[in-house]
Amino acid sequence: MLSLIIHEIRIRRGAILGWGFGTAGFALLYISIYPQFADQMSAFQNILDLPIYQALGVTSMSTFSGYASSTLLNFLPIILGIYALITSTFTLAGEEDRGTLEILVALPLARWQIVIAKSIALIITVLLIMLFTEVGGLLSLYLVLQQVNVDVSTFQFAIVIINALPITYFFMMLGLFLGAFLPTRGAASMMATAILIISYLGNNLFRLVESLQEWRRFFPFYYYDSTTRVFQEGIQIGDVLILLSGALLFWLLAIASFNRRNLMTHAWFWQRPYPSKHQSIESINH
Amino acid sequence: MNEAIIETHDLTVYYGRHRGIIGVNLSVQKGEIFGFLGPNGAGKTTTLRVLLDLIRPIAGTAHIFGLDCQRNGVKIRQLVSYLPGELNLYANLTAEEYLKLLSKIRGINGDQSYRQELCERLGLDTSRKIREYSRGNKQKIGIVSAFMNRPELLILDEPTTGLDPFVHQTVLDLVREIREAGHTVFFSSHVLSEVQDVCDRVGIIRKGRLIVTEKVEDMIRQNFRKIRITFAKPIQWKILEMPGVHLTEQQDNHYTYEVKENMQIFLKKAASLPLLDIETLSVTLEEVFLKFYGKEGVSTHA
Repeated sequence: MLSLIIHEIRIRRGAILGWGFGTAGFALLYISIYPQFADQMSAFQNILDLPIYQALGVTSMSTFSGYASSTLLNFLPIILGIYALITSTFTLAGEEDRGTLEILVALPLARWQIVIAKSIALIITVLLIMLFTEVGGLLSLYLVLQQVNVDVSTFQFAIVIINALPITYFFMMLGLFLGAFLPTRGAASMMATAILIISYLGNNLFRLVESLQEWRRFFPFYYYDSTTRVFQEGIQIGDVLILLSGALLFWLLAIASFNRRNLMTHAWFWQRPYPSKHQSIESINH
Repeated sequence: MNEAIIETHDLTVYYGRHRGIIGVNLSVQKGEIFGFLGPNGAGKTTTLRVLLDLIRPIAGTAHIFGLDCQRNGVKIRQLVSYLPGELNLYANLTAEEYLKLLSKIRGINGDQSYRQELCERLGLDTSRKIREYSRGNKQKIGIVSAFMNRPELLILDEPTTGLDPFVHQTVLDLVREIREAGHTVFFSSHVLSEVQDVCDRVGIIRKGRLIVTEKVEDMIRQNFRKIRITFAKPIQWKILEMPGVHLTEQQDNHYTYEVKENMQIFLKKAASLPLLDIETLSVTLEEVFLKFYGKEGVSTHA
């Protein structure tokens, strides 16, 4: 199983470097320009009160913590979430589409071992990408601190970047489950991406409507705090546990679905090998 | 030779309304090369995938080494190697990396000399990335990966696809060597000449049903004979037609008949005519197979 884990990480080394440098660059780009706009940011506040900005999660720019939460913290889980969906839907459904899964499953490995090995590799790849992001974020903070004072400590900044991990793992395991349950990678990616977008926009839009506030709790992004509160109050352990519990649930569902899956048939669950309504087993066999 | 390595009973797979296989009863004995014949869509690959627990049947049972294929999949796959019909490999690995990966997963950590020997015999350079290989060379990688652990049971689905004639023969030699070592080969193919060449017994699957299982020579001998008769002058060919006897070819005074039954009556009647020569022609598996199938798109070239 260790060989498979190493192999899975190895085939993703290009993606780790690409997405790692990408997210590090994203952090550097957004955060390091803060000193140039620091004294003008409060002027934007009236504009940021517009619902369209609220819907995008951009809520405050008057302080560094507000700027960082409206930019880096707001978009980081989307970027990592997209990576998580791409790679997790590829892991089972994508390999099945390509045909490489057929040989893997014919080796002396139980199906649950395959899912676990691949999941461990996915978790490690996201950790490595997060490492790049942290380096980019902290480097950008260092550059900012050379020019202006900010209202967050380096430790606080490092911690809130890591806060993107639970929601990334949530979407990663969702993608893994959909890849094990739906017939093709295309179907799994489409559904997972739709859930990601609806969850992000839904959480932000429902925040604007008093009567819909209660429904926000059904969106995963409700449990990811990208407001300045995360700097003041720290990461909410309850929210982290909810997201990780969701990830665990989808992971277990992925194992169960893959265990039952008829491989290489690309069939929807209603097309799976059962006799049709009009045929009993006896009539088929005779 | 009486130990069943593969046994299926009423094995049935349906994809919703679509037929996969229906009531397949199969028994493959230890140390034999069993040919599994049928055109595309007949149910060959579905059967193999059920044996490897890639697909679950809706009815019936499948056992390998006496173990249930669904319940003991891992144990079975420790003793089985599989070469799929549509081979897809990790394109970014070199052949060497790919073969090492499979060795490690299978737990082969020791002597790799047999793997190297296979690569040499097949003329495979393992240093390049798999995406750079031609189809035939990718097939060689698949063959090495299937043979390198000297499996007790080898399941091959169209193993010689894309290979040049020289390598083709080498692969058939390797298959024979597996049998000589006392191991078993389940050989699915629609290239009938190679099945006739290497297999001890064959099963023919048609529209999901296994319609016949016989020794290759019995299948050829028992189904029909081809008799070519040369007469001194042209005859009324219908004189010799009878139940089980049909004229298949005529050139001048040469008449070729397929004889399934009534051989003695046929020969007596022929002898009463101005006969010059009579000879028995060899029948190929291909001809027998086409008798079972008609001409349902079977590839008969080697």
